[in-house]
Amino acid sequence: MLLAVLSGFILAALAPWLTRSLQDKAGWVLALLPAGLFVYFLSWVPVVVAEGAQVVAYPWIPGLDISLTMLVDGLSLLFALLISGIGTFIIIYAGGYLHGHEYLPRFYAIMFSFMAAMLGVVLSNNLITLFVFWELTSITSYLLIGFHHEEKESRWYALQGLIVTVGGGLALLAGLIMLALAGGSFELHEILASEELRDYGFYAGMVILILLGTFTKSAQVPFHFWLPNAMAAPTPVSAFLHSATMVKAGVYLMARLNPGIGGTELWLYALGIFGALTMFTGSFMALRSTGLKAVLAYTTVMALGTLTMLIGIGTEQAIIAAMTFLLAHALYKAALFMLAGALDHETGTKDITRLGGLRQLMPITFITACVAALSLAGLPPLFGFIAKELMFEATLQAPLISTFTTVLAVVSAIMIVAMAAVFSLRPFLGPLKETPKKPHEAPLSMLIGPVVLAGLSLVFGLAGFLPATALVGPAVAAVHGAPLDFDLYLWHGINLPLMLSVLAVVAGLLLFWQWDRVLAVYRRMTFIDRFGPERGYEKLMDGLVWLAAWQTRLLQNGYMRNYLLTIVLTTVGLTGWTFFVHTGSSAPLGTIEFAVHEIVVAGLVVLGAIVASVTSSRLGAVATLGMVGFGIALLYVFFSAPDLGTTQIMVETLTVILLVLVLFRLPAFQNLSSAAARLRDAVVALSLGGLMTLLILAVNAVEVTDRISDQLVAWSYPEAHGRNIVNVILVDFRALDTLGEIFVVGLAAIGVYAMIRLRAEDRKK
Amino acid sequence: MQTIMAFLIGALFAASIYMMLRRSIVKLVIGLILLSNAANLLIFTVSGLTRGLPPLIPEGAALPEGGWADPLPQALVLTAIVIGFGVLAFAVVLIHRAYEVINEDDLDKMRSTDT
Amino acid sequence: MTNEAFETPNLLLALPEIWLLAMACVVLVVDLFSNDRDHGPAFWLTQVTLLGGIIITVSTQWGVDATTFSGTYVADSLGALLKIGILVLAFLGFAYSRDYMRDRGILKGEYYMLGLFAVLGMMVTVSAGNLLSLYLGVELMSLSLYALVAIDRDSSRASEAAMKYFVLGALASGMLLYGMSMLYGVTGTLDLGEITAAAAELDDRRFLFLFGLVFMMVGVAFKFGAVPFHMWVPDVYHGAPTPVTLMIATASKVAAVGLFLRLIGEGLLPLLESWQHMVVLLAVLSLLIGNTVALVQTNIKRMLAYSTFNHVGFILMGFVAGTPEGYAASVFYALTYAFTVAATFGVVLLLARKGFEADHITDLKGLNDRSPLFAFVVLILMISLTGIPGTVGFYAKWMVLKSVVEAGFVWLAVLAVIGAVVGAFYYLRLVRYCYFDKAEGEGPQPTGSGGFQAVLAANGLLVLVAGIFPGTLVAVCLAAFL
Repeated sequence: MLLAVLSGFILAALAPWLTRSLQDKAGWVLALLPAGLFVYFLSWVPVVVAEGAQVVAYPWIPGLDISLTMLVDGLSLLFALLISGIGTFIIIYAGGYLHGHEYLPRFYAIMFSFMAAMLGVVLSNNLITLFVFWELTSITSYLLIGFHHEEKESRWYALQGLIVTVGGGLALLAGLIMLALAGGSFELHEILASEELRDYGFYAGMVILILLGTFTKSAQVPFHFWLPNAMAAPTPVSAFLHSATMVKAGVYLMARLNPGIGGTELWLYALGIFGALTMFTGSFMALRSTGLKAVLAYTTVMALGTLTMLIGIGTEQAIIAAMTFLLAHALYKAALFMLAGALDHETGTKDITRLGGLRQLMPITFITACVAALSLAGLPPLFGFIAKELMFEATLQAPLISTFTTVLAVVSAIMIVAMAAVFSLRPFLGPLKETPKKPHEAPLSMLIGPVVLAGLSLVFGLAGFLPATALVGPAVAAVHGAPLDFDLYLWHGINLPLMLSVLAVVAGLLLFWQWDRVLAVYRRMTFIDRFGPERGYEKLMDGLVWLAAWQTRLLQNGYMRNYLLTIVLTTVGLTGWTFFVHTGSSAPLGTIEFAVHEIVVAGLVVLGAIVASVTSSRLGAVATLGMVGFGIALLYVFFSAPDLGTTQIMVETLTVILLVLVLFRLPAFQNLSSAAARLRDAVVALSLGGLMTLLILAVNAVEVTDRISDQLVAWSYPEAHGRNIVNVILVDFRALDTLGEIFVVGLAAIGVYAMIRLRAEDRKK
Repeated sequence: MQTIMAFLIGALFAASIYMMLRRSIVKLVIGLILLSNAANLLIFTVSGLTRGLPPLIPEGAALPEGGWADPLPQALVLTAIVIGFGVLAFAVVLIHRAYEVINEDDLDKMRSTDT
Repeated sequence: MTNEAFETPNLLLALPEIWLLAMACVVLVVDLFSNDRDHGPAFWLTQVTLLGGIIITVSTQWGVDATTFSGTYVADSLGALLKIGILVLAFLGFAYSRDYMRDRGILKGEYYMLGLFAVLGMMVTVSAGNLLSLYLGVELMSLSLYALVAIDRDSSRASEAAMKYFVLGALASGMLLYGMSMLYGVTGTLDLGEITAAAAELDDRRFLFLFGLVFMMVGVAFKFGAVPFHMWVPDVYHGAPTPVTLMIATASKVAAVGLFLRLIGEGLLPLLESWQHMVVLLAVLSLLIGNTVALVQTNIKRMLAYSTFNHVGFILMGFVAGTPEGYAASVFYALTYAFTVAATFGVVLLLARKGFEADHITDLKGLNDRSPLFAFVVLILMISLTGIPGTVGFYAKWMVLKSVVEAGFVWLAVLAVIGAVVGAFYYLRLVRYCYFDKAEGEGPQPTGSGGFQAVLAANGLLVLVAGIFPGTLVAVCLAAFL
């Protein structure tokens, strides 16, 4: 099972090489892998039908407790079969469609990676691996949609799809982690077995986050705009993305989680209402489209909405309808897309209004299109009819939102019937029209898929028990949480769903008859383009760039003093906060006792610091700095540190000399800052100074009894034979640190040397 | 006296930060010098001040007479003073060179960063 | 220490540092008396020094747990692991940089000297058992790096970057020093082990520890480049010569991990609940800021600078739990990140030639057509930086996330993953350029000697191998703490 998922990645690595060496036969040979996988998954069907869900575990990195577990039940098998089965035909089809294309090897590589990722999504039992595969489908589909990367539009729409789905993915991840917390495990089969998910404290937040992920992936309103734009992809990709993969991943996840977190009012309203709206939007937009692929793309939006709505309704009837509809849609949508590609490929145009009279030239295409379109329209004896009947039944029985969903379902059905007719009849009937290429029948590689899939739609329609027991039944059991006993057949007797179907067909055909007028009406409704959610997306993207620029201006503006201000203020904030939390606002003032000479020196130091800060003369600044330095030296001496005093005096002298030497090679002082800036800086500086004062007072209030230096004093003479304890510490006890100090100073010297030497070399030049 | 020293050090810190925030490159150098002085005094002060008891051992004794000032922070400060000077020398040359290469002493003009 | 006699230090325990110090002096002297314009003897001696340092460290310090120089120096597995990382990274940095520095006329003897001193400073930092030696190590490292940034005399960008780096760094070092003096003021000792013991006992003076802690945290955060002490990072990454940027981005990050662990992670572990929220704050800010800015960068060095914040956030997250597993995760993350980034800068250096920097992202366009090998290396590096499963970057993220989730910070984990996914955009953009775009004009060709190319390829492939067999490195990192 693990190999089944990973084989796609392995073949992806080999695909470019295989494609080059196999030349024309590449498509047929490469299709052997998905075909083999299809057979393999098929062999699991009896196991699952007989024994229920299976969990297959593989240890991956035992040291980090990561294992790969796979969940094989009706739902994952249904998806796996669709992915591998339709994938087989897509691979063959791509061999014909992209025949001789420069990047065909690369195409196969990405395509197999995508297929493997998709299998990973539907078979993963671990939430983390599921998410990883989920994001992998986003990234690989981005590469597929942007396959024609020379075209700017293609790249733009690919990126749009990626950003919307990955953005949703982020929300999903947060939702999944909450789900894992609520369920106490990252393994799906354990989470779904938990009874407490619906009582989880953050249930609503969790559901909304998960739905943000699935809605963006499955193109629900208001995130639906990226899907039709993704038509920029080559047709084999669209056929695969729209029928069995990518966009269905969202539906898969909602169906998967339904037994665990479904069945609440939130679930019903969110899925039911957004699903129904999506269904309506999809059909409404399909009706106004004239491109072959655009029509199909919007009917996909319709189908995704329908599926979401049915999962939301969640009754037994609705679940059966959802799984049946899922299967029916995958079959006819893949066939129709491949046919659209064939028409485009052989005539050179995708515009329905420019096609006509092709029934003689492309008879197989015509007949197959009719069969598949009948299934789309939901007419007997196709499988799509069963699905549509079940859907009407489910909406009629829906709790709370029955009227809303039924009305939208019927209206959508009317428009879909019209578009099915437009798609299957307009290009083929009537007089032959001029097309960019001289049309002829498509090659076998491009027809085998549509013919087989459309044929299956017919077979499943006539023999409903086949899918009912093997495919839909186990899937329904998985989504509902318990097996249901049902059967699929065409004739349900004369009932309300049948009447609604008849109504839809009649009204739909009327609409088809008047389609050119409908188009004219649409053309006047320009507001759709101006205020759609796509504009929102563009605004958002602009906003992101603006945010980045704003952030840069704020944080990375190059002004060093702003960097300094940030560091100082953060420090003051953190320390000040700690201070007041722990001591209250009162500073522990010690007793103020001092000797006169001390206070005089201290006063001079402060005075020097102030003068140095405000003087406008360089010489004055250097002189007062000297005063500060020598004053400090005196303070050292007063407080029993004669060594420090001498060192400070020497260093201070050197500093003054250095300053005099260098400072006067620099320009004179200037007052560059405004008064407001000076005031702000003074406030910041004083706040840090004040804070330091408070801290010293606080430290001074503490008595330290046992200092390690007492030992050093005791050792000083007996061990090191030195009478100046400070010196003994420096050269004996702490010799290593002193060595380090010497190196730091030496290093500074090397740095100074490096820079001064460069100057000397400059002069030589 | 600890209290007065606390205020003295606070004043030194305030002056140094104020100078470092100025736009003139020369004032930056002065700010750095004040900063290093303030830091040294800070270490010295928080380790405790003692009057008139330098840590020196008189001839013939094994310990200083009548107590002693803590010698360890003095050693620490001594190290800090010397390092501070090395760093300062480095800083002065570095800043001088930045001025030479860029030929501008207004720090606000030194901002080649994102645009 | 009471009533013990003064013991003579065991010099052998500090052999790696002594070796490096001695060899640095040898390099200095040899270079002075060499007439080679390319400073060949200095280069080869430096590389021998670093390799020798690795061998000595492995043989004398791994698995040891001892102190010498009166507790000033600690020889243990953690120090050994970090040192080996630092030495290897420095080796890579020097191997990648020779052609670049020569082409720009800045291949000086000082380059090797300063580089070796920086490495020495880092080694002292990660082996410090005492506040003072820790501070000295940090200063040695920082000063060398400031000087290295300024080594290109003609670049105004470099001079400006060096100045900013220096001034801000001096302030941060100052903060570190104030924090340390606070600790001394409260405990009366500089020894980290005794400070740890004091921190566990002192209840009434606990808040004084906290002030010291805040200041030290500021200093450490600055060395990491953690937000909001991060502003120097983009300017310095961009302004410094690329080999120096490499050193700052890789080895100094590893040293910063050592600094944190010695000073706070282990030294002040008893105060965990007090510093935990500070680390969380730094981690959150680091994760949030930078990512969006990185999205719009067109300069690879700037992009890596902004994306660093995200990784720094991850490294800090490993510290949050205060457990050996968390620390091991941080060390693992820092090491693997540093090696990946080193190779990334290596690619930039590989494509650079005289008068041309190759640090614009479009310079990678069509790399696959020019050099499939290095396009593949870029692919490995970028997916590893993104953290896609199966790469070493993923295991690093996983270990860190596991430790924070176990510490009860689930929201932090969620935030981190979101940041990582955003990162995918700008990392994978480079992959797209390499494979899917055509070069504008000729496009920069890989230059550089065979040795350089071989080391770089090995570096890239090692990242791949580490992703396939992460077990050993994980075990080593865990062993350093257990």
